[in-house]
Amino acid sequence: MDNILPEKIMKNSLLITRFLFYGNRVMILYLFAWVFFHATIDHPKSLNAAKITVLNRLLPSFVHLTGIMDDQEVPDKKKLRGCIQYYEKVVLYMPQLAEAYGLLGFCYYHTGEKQKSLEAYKKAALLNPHFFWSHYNLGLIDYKEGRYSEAVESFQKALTTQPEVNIKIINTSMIYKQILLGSGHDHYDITTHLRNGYAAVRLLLILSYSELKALKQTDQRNNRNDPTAMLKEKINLRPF
Amino acid sequence: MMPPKHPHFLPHIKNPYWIIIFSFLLWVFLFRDFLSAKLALVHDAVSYYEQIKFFLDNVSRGVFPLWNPTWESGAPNDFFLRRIGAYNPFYGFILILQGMGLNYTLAYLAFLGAYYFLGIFGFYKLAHLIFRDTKSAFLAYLLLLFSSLGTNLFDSYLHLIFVPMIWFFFFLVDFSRNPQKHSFLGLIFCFMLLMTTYIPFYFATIFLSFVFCFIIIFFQDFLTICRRNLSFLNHNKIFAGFCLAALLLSALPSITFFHESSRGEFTLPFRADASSSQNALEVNINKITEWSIGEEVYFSYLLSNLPDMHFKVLYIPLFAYLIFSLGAMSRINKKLLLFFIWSLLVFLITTPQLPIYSYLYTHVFFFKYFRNSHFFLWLILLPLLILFVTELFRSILTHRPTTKKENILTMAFLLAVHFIGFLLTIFTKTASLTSFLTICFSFIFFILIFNGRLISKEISTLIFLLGLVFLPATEVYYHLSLNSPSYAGPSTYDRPFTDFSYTHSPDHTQKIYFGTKWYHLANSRLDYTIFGKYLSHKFILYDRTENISDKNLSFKEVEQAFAEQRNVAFVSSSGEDGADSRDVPKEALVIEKDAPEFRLLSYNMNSIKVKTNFPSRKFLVYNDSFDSRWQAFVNRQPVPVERANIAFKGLWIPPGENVVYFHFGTSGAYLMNYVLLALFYFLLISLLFLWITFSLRKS
Repeated sequence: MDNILPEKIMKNSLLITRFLFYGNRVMILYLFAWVFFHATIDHPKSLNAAKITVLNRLLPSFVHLTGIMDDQEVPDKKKLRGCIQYYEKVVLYMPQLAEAYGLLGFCYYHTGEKQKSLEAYKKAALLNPHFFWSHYNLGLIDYKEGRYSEAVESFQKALTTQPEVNIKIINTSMIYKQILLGSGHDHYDITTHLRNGYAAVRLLLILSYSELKALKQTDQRNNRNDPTAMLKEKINLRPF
Repeated sequence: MMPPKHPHFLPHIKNPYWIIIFSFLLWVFLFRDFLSAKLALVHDAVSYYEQIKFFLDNVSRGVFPLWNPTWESGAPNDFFLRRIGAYNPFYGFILILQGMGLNYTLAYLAFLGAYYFLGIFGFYKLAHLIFRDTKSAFLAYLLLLFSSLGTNLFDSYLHLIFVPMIWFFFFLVDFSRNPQKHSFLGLIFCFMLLMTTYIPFYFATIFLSFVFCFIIIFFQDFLTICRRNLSFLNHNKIFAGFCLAALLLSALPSITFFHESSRGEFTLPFRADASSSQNALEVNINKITEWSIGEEVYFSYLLSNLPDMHFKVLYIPLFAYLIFSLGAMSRINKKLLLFFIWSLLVFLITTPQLPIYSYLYTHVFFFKYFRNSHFFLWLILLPLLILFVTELFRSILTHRPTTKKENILTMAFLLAVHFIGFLLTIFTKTASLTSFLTICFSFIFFILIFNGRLISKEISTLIFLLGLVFLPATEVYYHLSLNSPSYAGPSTYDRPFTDFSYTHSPDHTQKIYFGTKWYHLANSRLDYTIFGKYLSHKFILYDRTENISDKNLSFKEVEQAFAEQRNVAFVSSSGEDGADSRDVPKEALVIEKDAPEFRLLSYNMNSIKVKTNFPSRKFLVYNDSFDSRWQAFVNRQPVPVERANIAFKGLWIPPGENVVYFHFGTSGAYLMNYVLLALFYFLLISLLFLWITFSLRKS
């Protein structure tokens, strides 16, 4: 009995000593600050407000982007860097926006990051399988890289999309509206571009098939006898 | 105690000014693209660049610009003069550089760099007073210098508040310890600068919260300081009286501006909700709660990857976090407690989402004037955090393991902190070569410290500290430069603006930021194209006037009259219509250049004089915004200035030759401004003189 009491007192005094030791340390202030900030800040609200501000702060000028789309400007890595940063954040905060992935793919392509471009377009096609341009651009990159069977698959998917649906998607898309407003374009002829795109896909499909056929043959082809050489010259082999 | 193994050839250094200057030159190197105008100023920094240019260009011509005719068809310039702190004598540095042949852009950027250095050096001096240790003060200096506070120079205007505030606290601490004339004058001078720059209530909140915390934690010291200071004031009544008189005089512009803002003649549509505020400067509470310290911190967190470095991202050197972690086991002392409680108090009273803020907004008048509560993060929370870290560093430096067990525990703790730091940089995707090197060198640094090898070699310690703080900053600011826009060309006031032009471009702002109440009304209610075309002519002469009531204003009718250039001016007065019974032309007479009937005699920002010679009586409308402080004279006789065409100035001119003179403000207003400008220069020179003589006497 006499042995237990001193042991208990010793244990308690050890605890008190420990408490006084740590209670007098700066880590207690850290703990207090952590509790204080978590109790006072509305974290989801602050985080959402900060995300919106990040996007507004990173919003680039789209003049160069539309210049590339219209074949008026040569892609400039530094100018596209701002667009890449912006769209990377858009897809991070709003991962359901297929158009953002598509534009990110476009920017990656023109800065030479082909693999990243391919992945972005794949994501865009997955999120919105009805959007013509995702399949078109995916097929185009595969075609240029020599992956003709994948290109054929993408071009076929592109041809199954409906033009009216695509026009509606572009007209209602917040992402595309930003580009039109930011670039100073009063009017963008979506219909003509889409018509040209569908025509290009048909030609690209023919080219892809002929490339696949040529690969199966063993003898060398002479370019001068290649019936598709003229077609290749007419096609604009850059993503949109 | 064992003597040091290696004799050190350099003496103990009290103030290592050479390394302080060298550190600053390294900072200049990191920001060379901004300081050489290769990269652009952005956001609010552009506005301040322009307004300071506007002010200096006029003052150097002998004109104190109380009116700005180039802003939204004319606006009172008080608002901008208060924002920039027009009496700041350091602006003279820009004029000196311009006099030496530098263009305004480069002179202004040089001023920004030099002013920032002045502030950071003041922080070093303050830290030296607080910690009484050169190494600790130097660390505080480095941490603040290489933090992202400096980026505000190119994106904001916080340096205009920060620099005088830091020196204010330096003189306050210095005066409290050893009351001298120069420190009292320094205190007053900094306080005057703060009172005449932007919204002085930011400083008022910081200072009052400091006093509150200081009294709680250092109550006995507070009483001693009060007794000592009162004794000084008692023995230097004349000097103190002069200083206090200067302080009261410097409060006049702010008081008159505040009074003007309640009269309702100017408006800031983005700040105020017109239906609820009595004062144009008041901010609607919903606007304040949109963005505060929490959002600012989250913003920095979301852009914490190096390639995402942008303006407004809070960056504190990595070494500070390591000290923060190592200091967790340090004992709490009064200084740490003061920094901690003061930070929490500032956060508590300036976070609009908290209930206490609504109470303060309602019961403390100046809380209605804060639009940017996140400024407190940069102005005070960041410096306090650095002071907190510095105090931890100082206590770490004094730690000496005496037993083998303590030595092992210390090394283990050191290793654990650095290893966890290393892992955190990987997991938070902030890892880079420089961060890894910093962690490694920090580990080596603390081992040398705990083994007592560095303490005696103060220079080595300082160089080590410089390396530890500078190294990661190189990558951070490299990415900032990559993400910043290039110089976009001359801005508004880089082009000639001091000469008068009869015609202007019809482009005008659709939604104004600041302007006269009536101009804002006209601009928002009239058709953009028609109003723009009307505004493109500075002087229009009419043969008839028609009275209109402000309560039943028909904007459509006015718009129609503008479109047709109808020969009738709309006057907002209760007098009779100035209808002329003669046959008059259908269209008003627009003045497009000097002519025998109408000639410009003189023009500056505050006044304009023209000579007229018409065969009949005419109503002259000067398309410059109306303000009740404008005075008009016809042939040196005062005449009332009417508010014409909703927002502009008008008056009747008799037939024959007349000299019409419009002038803004009273002689008293100009006298006050010139006296204050001279006073600030005088006080700065006196401060430097007193300080230098005191230092020479002391040495």
